Order: sequence, then structure tokens, then C-alpha cells
Amino acid sequence: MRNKLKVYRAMHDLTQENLAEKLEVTRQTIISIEKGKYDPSLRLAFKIAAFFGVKIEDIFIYEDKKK
Amino acid sequence: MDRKTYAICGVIIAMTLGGVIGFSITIENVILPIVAVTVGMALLYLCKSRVKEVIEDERTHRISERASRKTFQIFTPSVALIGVILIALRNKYPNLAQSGFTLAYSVCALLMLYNIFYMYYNKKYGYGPDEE
Repeated sequence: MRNKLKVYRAMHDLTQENLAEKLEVTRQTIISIEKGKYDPSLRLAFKIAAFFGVKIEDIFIYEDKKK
Repeated sequence: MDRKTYAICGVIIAMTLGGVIGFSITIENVILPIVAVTVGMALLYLCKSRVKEVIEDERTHRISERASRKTFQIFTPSVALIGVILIALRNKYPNLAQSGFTLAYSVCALLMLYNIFYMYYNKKYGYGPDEE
């Protein structure tokens, strides 16, 4: 799964630390999501989308690994 | 308290516990390690409750779940195999048989516990009759 978290974070002028604090996760989680190493749970994905006031699919783009 | 201080507290508590348990083995005392572990756990819990930063989240939980699963997958058959080998060698090395039985029973207890938790979580996460 690809994501545009880094773009949205930059658009809102937030550091990884700030965003982690607001979403109540660790900074390492934000780093891992941005690098595409960790796919967040549906709950966290919705929380991120709600925080930026966009739809979940605006930030997270599903890609089938088999392709 | 920040995350770094909490980590330092954890290391100090673990080192102290190790020392106390080592000492209690030397003086052959049973009560001391029980008290030490209880106090250590309480102290660690106290430290954790004072940390203002988020130190655990879904990612750390997922890592922990995967690590536990891998540990279980490797540890259980390995220990079971060692147990069986020790039991099989009981005629040649009679004093190893007891260790073999201890390992085998430990694996049985572990598997039982795993199955109990598996059933519990299976039920919790929706296993049941089909609905139409």
C-alpha cells in the first residue's frame, strides 16, 4: 500500500513528532508508515484521514502485491 | 518522565533483579526472588504510568505479536524434540530423564495455554454459527 502521509504532513506544516503526538502513536510508527514499511490498521488509517479532513483513499492507495 | 528515563529505569530494575535472584540462589532462599520479582514488576508499572509520551501503540503490539508467534513456532518443537531425546536416552543416562519429562510437560502446558487463548480469541473475534 502506498500513501501520501508525508505530503499531507508537509502541507499542514507538521513534524513527525507533532503528528505522532496528535494521533497518539509513536514517532517510529509515523516514520514506518511514511516509508511504506508498515500498513496502519483501519482504525489508525481513518484517524489519520479524519485528522487531515480528507477521505481515507486520498492518503492511502491500495496496490495488489501480486501485480 | 520521558521514554529515555523509562528505558534507564527498566535496565536498572532488570539488573537489580538479576543480582537479587543470583544472590538468592547462592543463599538458597525461595522467598527473596518472589518478593524481588513482585517489587520489580510494581516498580516497572509505576515508571510506565509516569511516562507522558506514547511508548506503545498498534505497531509495537503487532511487532510483539509476530515476535511471540515466531518464538512459539521455534521454541515449542525444539524443546519437545530435546525432551523426547532426553527421555529416549533414559536407559543410558538415567539422570537426564527427569529433565526430559520436565521439558515435555512444559511443552504440553504451553500448548494447552495456547489452545485456551486461541479458543478465547476465536470466540471474541466472531467465531460462531452462520447468520443469514
